[in-house]
Amino acid sequence: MEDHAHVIVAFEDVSYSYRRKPVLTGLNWAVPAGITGLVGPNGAGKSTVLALLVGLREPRSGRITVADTRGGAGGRRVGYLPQRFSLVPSMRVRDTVAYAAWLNGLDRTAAGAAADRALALVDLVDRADAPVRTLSGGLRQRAGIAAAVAHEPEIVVLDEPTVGLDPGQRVRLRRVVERIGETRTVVLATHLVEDVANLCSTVSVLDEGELRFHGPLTELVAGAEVTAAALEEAYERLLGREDR
Amino acid sequence: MIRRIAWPLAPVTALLPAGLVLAVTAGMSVEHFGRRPEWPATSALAHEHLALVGPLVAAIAFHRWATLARPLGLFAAARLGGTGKPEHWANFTRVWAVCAVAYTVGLLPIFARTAADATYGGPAAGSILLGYLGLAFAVAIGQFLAAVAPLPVLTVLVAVLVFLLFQLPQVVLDAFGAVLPVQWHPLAANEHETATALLFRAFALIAIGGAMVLASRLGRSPDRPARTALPALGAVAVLAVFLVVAAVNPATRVTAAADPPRRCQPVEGVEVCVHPAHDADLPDLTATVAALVRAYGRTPAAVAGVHDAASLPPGEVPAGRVVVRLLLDQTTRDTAGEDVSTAMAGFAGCLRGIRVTGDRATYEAGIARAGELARWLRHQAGITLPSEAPYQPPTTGFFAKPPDEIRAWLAANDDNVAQCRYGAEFA
Repeated sequence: MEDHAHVIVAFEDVSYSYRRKPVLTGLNWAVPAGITGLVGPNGAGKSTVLALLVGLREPRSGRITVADTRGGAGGRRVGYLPQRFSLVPSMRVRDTVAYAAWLNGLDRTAAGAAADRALALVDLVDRADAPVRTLSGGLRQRAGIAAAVAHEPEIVVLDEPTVGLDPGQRVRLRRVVERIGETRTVVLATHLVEDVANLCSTVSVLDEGELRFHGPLTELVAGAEVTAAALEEAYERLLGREDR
Repeated sequence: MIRRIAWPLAPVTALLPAGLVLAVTAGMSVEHFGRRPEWPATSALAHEHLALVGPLVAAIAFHRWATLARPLGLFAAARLGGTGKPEHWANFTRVWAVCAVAYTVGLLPIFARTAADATYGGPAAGSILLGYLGLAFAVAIGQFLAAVAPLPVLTVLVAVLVFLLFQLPQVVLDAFGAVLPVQWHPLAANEHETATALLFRAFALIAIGGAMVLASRLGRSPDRPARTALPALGAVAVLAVFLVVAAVNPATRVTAAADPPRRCQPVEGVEVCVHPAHDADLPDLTATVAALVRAYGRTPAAVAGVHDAASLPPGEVPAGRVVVRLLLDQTTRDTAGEDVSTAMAGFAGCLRGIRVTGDRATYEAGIARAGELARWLRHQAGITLPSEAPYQPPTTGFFAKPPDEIRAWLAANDDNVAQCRYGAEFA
């Protein structure tokens, strides 16, 4: 297990199999405060790791611990935006976010106020009363993020939030994630190196259920300037070298 | 308020169901305004109306829960979380509350009318409460089915399935009547639902419905299939247990009063009795009997008394008397006139003759003559049945004779008429 000063999430020897096929085997992973990017090729096990982290799935063996940085107060400590999610088209944006907060342990009144704060955070206040069906792809993702953070979790887990967005929407969404990362630990699964280069302080590379790299971005690019191109090159090299 | 109840869905998702429940309940009550207001029957409407309202409510609950249960929803992680709200209970109580209020408003007119006009008894709390339990049961079914198949498009199918389920007590197995709210048994003025059957049904509805609500929790872990399936299987098992108990040891669901109260008034030598719930019918009934006795010319041997069936112990006919049993809660005053006139004409004697002697030809001819005599008596008494064409006096035969001559014949042959023995002169 790696030693980080402020480990927020720790996977200790975690294994998981799906229909008897091993997906993760003895994974040790320590997520520090800040924004951590989880990258890897399709089928690497990123979504499984996130599902384990948020409790949607349970490890076959090993332990996952989430540090309690605020003394167990409030609702659930993890907020989650899945890669694919459906919304109730007729529901208003504010109600969607408030319902998520209510499900996460806030009472009705607090959930309403929390929804307003979350919508402000993702710049969606002006669409609060709009039905979800009227939102574009980018706005829909922002509404999803608002639902994930409304109950003010310590850790926010975002699974491929920028997939399918146009460049402009992606930039705006990154700003939102950046803002969230200022006060919370964020785990961002993505296959877009650009996202990692622009947002993350730490990166974890997962491939075939194994952690190939975990550490600061500067370490991955071996001291070079952290750019998308440098990251991509380092990433390719890392996976290519390991594959051989 | 409505927004709060419908939350997180739009207010229309509460208003539309409430309107539908109200309309169907009120619509089902309309036909009961044409009947005598009696508390046993009116109280039972609180659960009998669920024949249509139940499927509607189940469909409403199904649609709401299926809408909120998107499998890839944002709420999946929250639903699995330890601090997650009891979402299924919250939605269950909201749907029930909306439907219960609409149901109550829909039932109010018929209950108000019964309160104003019923002359005997009072509301049966057990029957009424069972209606609201049945409503909760319908919500539980809808929510349970939505957890099993969260597809709002199936809403109509759910309504049809629950409609068919609620038909079971009358078409398949009587045991279903012990565990379902709708009984399909119209209650007479002297009848009531037994406490044992009501309690058993209430307990069954609570247990089965409760198991279904627990099983309707969403977002169960895909890694714990047993934990996911067990509550659903539990709900089915609870239903099966209650069905078996009801089939093996069925409780009497409805019972009639052993010694019902009655109000009697002698008229022209005939005792006319009604159950106090039918007090309002007594003046018309005595007038009808008096007119028919006068038409007959004397107190007929065939009829010593005319009793409202609700005023008699179940299956009992006072010894040594010929009693006309009138189902006043199901018939009109006109048909009471028909029953009394055919009884005076010896119709019961004809049926008894066939039964005792087996001489079908003779007594069937007697039935035809009794029918003619009854028709003549009604005409003389000024009674015209709604289903009958106006009476045309015959120009030949026995009934062409002057009324006094016919009455003289009846006086001489009173016992023969009562025994369905009509002479050749009648032909």
